[in-house]
Amino acid sequence: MQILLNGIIVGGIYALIALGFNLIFSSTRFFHVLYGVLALLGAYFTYTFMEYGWNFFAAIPVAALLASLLGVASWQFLYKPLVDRKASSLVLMVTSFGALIVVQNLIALIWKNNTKSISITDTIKPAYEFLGLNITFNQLVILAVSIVLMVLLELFLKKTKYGLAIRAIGDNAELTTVLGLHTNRITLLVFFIGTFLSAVSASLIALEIGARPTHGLHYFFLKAVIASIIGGIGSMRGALIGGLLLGVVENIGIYYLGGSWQEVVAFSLLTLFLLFKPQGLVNQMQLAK
Amino acid sequence: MNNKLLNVTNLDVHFGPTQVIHNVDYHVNEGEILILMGPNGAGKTVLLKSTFGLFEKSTGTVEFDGKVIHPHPSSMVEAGMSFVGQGKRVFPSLTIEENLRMGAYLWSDKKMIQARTEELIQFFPVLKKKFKQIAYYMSGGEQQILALARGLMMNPKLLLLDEPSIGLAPKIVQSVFEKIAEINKTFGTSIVVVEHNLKSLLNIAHRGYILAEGKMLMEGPVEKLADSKNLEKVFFGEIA
Repeated sequence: MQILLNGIIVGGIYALIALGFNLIFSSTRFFHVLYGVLALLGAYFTYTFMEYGWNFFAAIPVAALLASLLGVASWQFLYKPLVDRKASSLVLMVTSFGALIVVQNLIALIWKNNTKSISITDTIKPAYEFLGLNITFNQLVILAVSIVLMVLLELFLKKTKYGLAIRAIGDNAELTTVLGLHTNRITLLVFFIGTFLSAVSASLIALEIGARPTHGLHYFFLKAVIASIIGGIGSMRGALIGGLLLGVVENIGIYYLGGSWQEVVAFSLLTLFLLFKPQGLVNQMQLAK
Repeated sequence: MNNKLLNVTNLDVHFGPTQVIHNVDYHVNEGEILILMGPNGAGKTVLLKSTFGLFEKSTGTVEFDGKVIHPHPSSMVEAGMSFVGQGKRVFPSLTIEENLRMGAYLWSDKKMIQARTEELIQFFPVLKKKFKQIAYYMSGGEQQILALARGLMMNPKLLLLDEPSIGLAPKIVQSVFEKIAEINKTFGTSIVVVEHNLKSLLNIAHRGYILAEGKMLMEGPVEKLADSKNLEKVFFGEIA
């Protein structure tokens, strides 16, 4: 049970990252690799604000806001000019990858290569006990923030006009243009929300594992991709389920095999899915065809 | 009656170095159903799309409802034009209700949208029974009806239909065309239809044009165009 709980908590963050990634993927249909490092940048901003004495809960939203603006800028100034020239999704992915390397190295230049850790309080609080399960204060914060953001996202997508437009673009982008929507504004909004979610999750993860320049690609981007593929790429519910499943399976793996096997477990899960259920658990993409 | 609702003059369209529409003029009168005919590759769809702004025209003017407009989908929709394309017609993961709401995205008055939705599901009873279901589960014919209804949400003055019969069973095609005629009568909407399923349309269209290789060949009442000699000439390439 304790493993399951830990898995769900980590899985909640993975789900958040995957949700943001999926949101962007389903409206633009390319692999936004830069996503990972923008998320990481969010964590570094949080770290920096806290160095200046800010409270963790004040630093997180401001840091995520800054990262989101960069995400928006990446669409407007990096991808959109290419999309306007009818670049393929492969070109966009390579561009994105190049940008990732630049930003990753900028991070290393500014914040150096060592791990920066973030903690909410100066003293380590004892874990709470709840129905025989241990949960630390950090974990509680992670859980609460993930749940709140997911509920907000769900409400936004289901209940608002912009949410409707975002879902519509994911379904059939061409048709939204025909209906007179300014699709670029909606895409900008998607990049804002997606990056915001990822930056918040990155700051939350930094509570547990700290932040390093390479986390962008190796951690955030890959987790987002794996969780998305498991869940069914293009599907919001799929990203949620995929993230949770990835978290739980990873934690079971860590418990029985040891922490160094975490990546092996994650990629084995991905391989299994690609072999036997490549469309993912919730196959939205086929639905869209 | 014979007021020109849409008047397109001297339209040229290029795809890269290739010219696909050559100096085409056409117009739509208020309240009529106009059919654009021609063999495959004649440029019917391109003509329709560049009128709506989905393709950029090279030269030519588009005058709609008394005003010259530079075609762009959002300005065309605002001006009262609506386009229903071929192929993927609906948002499959949205419900029918949401699909309809997307058709009136530029409206912000919820009551107006609500009232119009009610009106349209009265008009298209098929949509009523699956109202809260996602459009993915609809048949091709039902999806086409939904696309038509969505196109009518903002009560447009002019509806552009690109091959509404494509991919539908012959029996359903007939009922879709009947609906199109009914839309014209009930709402007074002018309609342009691009179609090569000619026979079923001849009964409902008022006037038509024949296009071949990007040039306008013939204009007139449908009876004249449907004259088998004229059609034969075009489709077997004698005139072009």
